[in-house]
Amino acid sequence: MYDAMAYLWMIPVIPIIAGFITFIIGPSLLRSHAHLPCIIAGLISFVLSLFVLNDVVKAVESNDISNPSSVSVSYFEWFRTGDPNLVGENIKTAGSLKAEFSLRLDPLSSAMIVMVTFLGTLIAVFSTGYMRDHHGHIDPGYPRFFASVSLFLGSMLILVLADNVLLLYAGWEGVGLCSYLLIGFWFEKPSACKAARKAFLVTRLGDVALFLGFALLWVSSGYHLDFDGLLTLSNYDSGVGLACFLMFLGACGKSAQFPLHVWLPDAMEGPSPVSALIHAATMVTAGVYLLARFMPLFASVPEVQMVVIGIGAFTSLLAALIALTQTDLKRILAYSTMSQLGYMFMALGSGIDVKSALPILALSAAIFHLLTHAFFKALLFLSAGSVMHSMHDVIDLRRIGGLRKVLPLTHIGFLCGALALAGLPPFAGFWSKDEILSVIHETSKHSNYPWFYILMWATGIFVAFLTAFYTFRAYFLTFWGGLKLPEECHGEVHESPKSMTYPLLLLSVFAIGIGFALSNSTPLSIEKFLGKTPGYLLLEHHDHDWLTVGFATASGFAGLILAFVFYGKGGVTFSEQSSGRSNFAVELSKNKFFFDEIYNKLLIAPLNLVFYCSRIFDQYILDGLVDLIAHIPRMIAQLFRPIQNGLVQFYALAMILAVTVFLIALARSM
Amino acid sequence: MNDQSWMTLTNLSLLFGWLAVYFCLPKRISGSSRLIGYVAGCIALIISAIQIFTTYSFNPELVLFCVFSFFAVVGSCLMIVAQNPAHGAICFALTITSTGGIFLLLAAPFVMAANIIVYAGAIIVTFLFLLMLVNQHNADLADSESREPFLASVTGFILMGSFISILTASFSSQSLSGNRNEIELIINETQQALSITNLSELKAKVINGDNYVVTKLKNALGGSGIWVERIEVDVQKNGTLMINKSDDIVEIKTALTSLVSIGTEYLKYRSLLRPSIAMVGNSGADPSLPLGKIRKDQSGRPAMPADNTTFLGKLLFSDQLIAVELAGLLLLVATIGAIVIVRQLPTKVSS
Amino acid sequence: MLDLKIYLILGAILFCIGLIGFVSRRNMITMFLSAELMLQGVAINFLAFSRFRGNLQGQSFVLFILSVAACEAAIALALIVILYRAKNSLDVSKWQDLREEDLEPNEDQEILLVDSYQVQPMPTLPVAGHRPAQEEDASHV
Repeated sequence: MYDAMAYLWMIPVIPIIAGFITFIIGPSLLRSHAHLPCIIAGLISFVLSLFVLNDVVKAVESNDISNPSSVSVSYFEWFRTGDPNLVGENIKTAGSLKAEFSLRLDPLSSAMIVMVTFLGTLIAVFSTGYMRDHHGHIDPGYPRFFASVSLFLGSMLILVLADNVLLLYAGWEGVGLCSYLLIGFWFEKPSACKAARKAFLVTRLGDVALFLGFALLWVSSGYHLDFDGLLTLSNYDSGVGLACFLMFLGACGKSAQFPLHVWLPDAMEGPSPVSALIHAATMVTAGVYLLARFMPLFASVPEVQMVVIGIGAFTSLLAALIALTQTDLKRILAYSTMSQLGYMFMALGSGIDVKSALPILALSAAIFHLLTHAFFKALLFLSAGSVMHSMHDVIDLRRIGGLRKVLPLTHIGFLCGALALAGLPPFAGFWSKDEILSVIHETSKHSNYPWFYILMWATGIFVAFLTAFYTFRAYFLTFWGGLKLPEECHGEVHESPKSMTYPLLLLSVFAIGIGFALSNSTPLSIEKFLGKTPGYLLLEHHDHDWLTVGFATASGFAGLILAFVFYGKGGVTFSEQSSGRSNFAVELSKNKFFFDEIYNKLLIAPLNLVFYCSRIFDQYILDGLVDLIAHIPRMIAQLFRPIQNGLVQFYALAMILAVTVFLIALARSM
Repeated sequence: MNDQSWMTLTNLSLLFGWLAVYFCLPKRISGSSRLIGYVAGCIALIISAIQIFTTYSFNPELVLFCVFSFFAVVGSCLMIVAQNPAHGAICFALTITSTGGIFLLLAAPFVMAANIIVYAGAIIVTFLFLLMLVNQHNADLADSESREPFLASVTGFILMGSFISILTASFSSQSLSGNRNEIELIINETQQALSITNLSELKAKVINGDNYVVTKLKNALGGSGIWVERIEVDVQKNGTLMINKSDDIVEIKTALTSLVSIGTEYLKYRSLLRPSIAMVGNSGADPSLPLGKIRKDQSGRPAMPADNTTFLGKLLFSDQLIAVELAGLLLLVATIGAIVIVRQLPTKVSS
Repeated sequence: MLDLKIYLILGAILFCIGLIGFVSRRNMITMFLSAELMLQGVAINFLAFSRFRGNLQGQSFVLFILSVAACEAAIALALIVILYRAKNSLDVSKWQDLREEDLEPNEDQEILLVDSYQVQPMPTLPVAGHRPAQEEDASHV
């Protein structure tokens, strides 16, 4: 465990260095090999992460006091403010702040880094194929893409490994920046620019709340910055509830939860691998990770937890309903990501009693779903990317169809991902989704408001049904029915290159197997692994909640069958159905519940008015004042400017006048 | 004639001189203004003549000075009011020859000759050639209208008045005419006297008949002027405190100390005006000598080297050699420059 | 006996008259002559000091003034020639290009010459080797 700490810092630092190297020498020297630093750095980080994970697993199994499963190490002092003479405990006063570059290794972070580095590397490999056209020519921004991906990986790893909130915040902003850069990667497209700006600004709202939450935590915990100090409940007298709520708002921004969810569907303007890596697997789960990290605090404020689960369930339902009628493949996946993230928040929100095992159950369910979702959603996005690549960037479900034959490998990948997402046994989503639903069911027995949690549970079951339905709707429309190609293809379709299909197949294996592998029934159980995290009650054995399993599986299958009934024949009937059954509900879903429009009317329009007034104020009043001040010397100068009339005699006269004045003064003094 | 009435007459003649110049300067509407100007000019000259003849005793030098300066001033005034530049050039030649007479009065025959050769000979002739070269057939507007005649003449005459009043003021006080060596002697003597403690001995030392220090210092400082006034105020307290009448040794010593300080201050002030570069001596009296030590001629003025041209040549080719060479170089450069300037132009004009 | 003061006053008078001429006259040649007049005033000053100090330093300085004046005359005449060629006039007011950008040039209005005095035409150089025309001669001064 301590051995691992010696090289732990290299895991985030190597991708960052690779990113900067690519930025500097990429466009001039590396060009079409610009992916090499990124992939090599990702691989090194992944291997190191495996070693680290091995150490953590050993520590968890040893149960040895001398080999704790949670260690934090400070590598260097990042910055400090206030009196430099203060040391030790004395520094923890208001006005004195000492932040260190300290990393924390425990089961939670080790699981996260393995997932992040593995998916990052795999998606980078996929991108080497995706970021070229069909003739093998690279995209003009090829080096920029891989530099940004490298930086993203580094920032994400810092976020996950950070041992104090400031470093975590730095990583949080770093991934936000890289997300902005990558959404706006094709900045020639106005829509991409707009989407990037929207994502950046909306998440910024959450970030402000997050920072306020951190500041409140810092103050109310007696000026602690490290997690050991922050997560000790005895440090607090008050303020935990508000701080947790603010942090949850930050998590909402990053993880696209209602009401800050509007940026995620637009973020699909970025390249598909970016959607897979950042907007499905890693960055958007940062909110989930944050809440999991602060689970002991959240568990102590059940009121906030009810908000968390409520928002999670609402987002989950909302996104699933919107996804029902969308026709853009990537959008459907984006809404499903929102929906699944809502699931994770539902899980996190059900950890309510500090004294019980519920927090760790909730945490492990959320992280379990986070991991499985990362794999199968990355798979789905990469498959969608592969479809898009083959279809010359067309992924409108109305224009494509029956691709099962022409894109066989992509079809297998998408199918595995869809099965996993729909939660059908024995695919990955089944295990993690059941965990979540059973935790909610379990919580309803312990809570003071059992009906609320039962309602949440029922919502979860319903969303599982909707998920299966819209996933397979997308699947059937894309791959079944008669072959339908957009005119951009000119009748020719090729399967994507090997650099794209091999990662798909590898991910398919994970999408099938990881759920079972990490479930309770195996020695790799994520629940037992995370349960050894210090600060949580040791896990008591609990059975499968067969009621939940039954309902969830049934609803999954129901959704699948329903989708087959409606769309099994492919997209031929799609247009008839959508036009024939146009009613208010469908319109609502199609237009994403009019959230963009509502925000435009309610928030942006009044703000625009304010901005307009400020502009008028600035232009006419402030600038007018400044201009007035600038005019005063000019007006004074206007009096004297005629002196410069260009006549040399006039100048001589002025000179003589001055000399005369001096002489008269001299004569008077004598 | 005292300073007061001198300045009054000066101001009067300046006023008439200004009227003369102002009315004679070419203006758009001339009318009979020139006549007024001539009359005013005559009045101004008469007043000036009265001033000069009442101030200085009548002798041939005065007559010569008056004649030469009359032609110089009248010629220069006519030059600046002439509407025809050719007439102006002739008037300028008159002025140059008249100042040549003034130069002779100032014992500078070589400079007089050089001046007339260069100005009246070379420059004026060149100008007349130029005037013909530019071939200005008709009178130009520029010649018949002055720029700001009122302002220019007022400014010029105020400047002239301040010059004259400053000169009058500085020559009347005779501020720095004291004898340096004598003053140094008196200061040493007084400082020795300050170390004496016995009252009678001190008095004997300081007041010894005609050896009375205060009177001696006053004489050494020139007998009048601001320095003597300061002694009267500071040391003698306007006559109420006399060293020779006091019996208080402290009082006497205080008075003597302030006497010493006035003398020292005078020497310090004077030394600021003393040139510090030693010359070979071809130029005549050493500039560092006090005026009293300079050899005088019969008329009581400093004697000039008798052979002006010889000594001037020796001076120029010994002390001023580098300056002479540089002046020659300057002339060469100017010659080349003038040729280049005029030669370049035709191409520019034609293009 | 004349003293230093009266010579200095004479120098000051010549200097100031030259100044007035330089400032008020618009003909470049007259302006130049006025400047030379100022130099004469200064030269009288130097010579007076030289006389009343009894040494020749002032006289040597006047010689340098003479040489500088000669250089000045050469350059000034050359400049006057080219300026005249450019504008066909000796009026210094024609050259006021260094004024402030948006100022109107100081235009002098054409005046009606008053009959009270006769405008004297300039003398012109007759062509060498030929007898000048008789009637042209008559119009000259």
